[in-house]
Amino acid sequence: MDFKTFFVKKVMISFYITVTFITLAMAIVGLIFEPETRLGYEAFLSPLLFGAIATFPKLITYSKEELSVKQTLLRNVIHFLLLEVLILGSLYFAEILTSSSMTVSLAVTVLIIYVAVSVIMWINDKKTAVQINQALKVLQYHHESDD
Amino acid sequence: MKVKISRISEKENECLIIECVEVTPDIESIRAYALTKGTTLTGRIDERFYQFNLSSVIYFEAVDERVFAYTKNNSYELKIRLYELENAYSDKHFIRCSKSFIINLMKLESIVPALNGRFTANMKNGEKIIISRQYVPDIKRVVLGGN
Repeated sequence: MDFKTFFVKKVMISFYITVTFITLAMAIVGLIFEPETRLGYEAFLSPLLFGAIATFPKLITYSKEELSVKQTLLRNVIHFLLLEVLILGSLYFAEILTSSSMTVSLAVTVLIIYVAVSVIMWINDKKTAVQINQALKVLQYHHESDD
Repeated sequence: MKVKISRISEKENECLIIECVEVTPDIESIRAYALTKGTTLTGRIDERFYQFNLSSVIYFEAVDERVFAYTKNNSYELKIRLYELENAYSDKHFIRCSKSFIINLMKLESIVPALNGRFTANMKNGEKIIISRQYVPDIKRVVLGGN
């Protein structure tokens, strides 16, 4: 996959989806917990900022060549660490992180979400593989019968 | 263009000779078409040419500008492009699984999800080939009964 296709298909689509869900989450959580709060125009920027923080580190996983398992795992680790640094860093500079216990719990939350997404993707892939393998046996059986 | 057909006695000596002033795209397409006809392929090992059955091919691989066919015991260099093989043999259970590989579904033992977000094709001869994520829907469609 060339870089342009990767950027449009993997990064930008992911960015738009993330921005949409952050905006939706902000609206729902705000209406439930602080319905009286009024925000300025700058509030429109926060979904874009957090969307960029969540999706742009994905660029680190791009490669023109097929990556080995080791190379991919290494890139995933770098991707995860970059996410942690960007999320925690931006919250620190926004003065939202006020204690070390809050920082640690947020870092662990990001880790749990990252691992959960990877596990869900793997389970989904496993399901696809089982489906293909079952159908493959049937296809091969019919092919041998035809010969 | 004039067409001449001469009868010969031995099947293995069958040969198509094209005499032309220059190799135009039309000539190239005739060449590609001729190379993919029938279920016998001609490939080179070192400086010698051999004929082998298409059904004995486990996979085709493109390495730089060269294309190889791998059977249980040999690897043959072919004078044909990978996309031409893909077009010619898609109805004979050969399917593209990455930028550089076309596998024979009849020689495929199973597929398993790999940790690098791709899949691995376990071939019946024990070899493992990477399946790029983008080709999985096509493999699924073909194996599950589409074409």
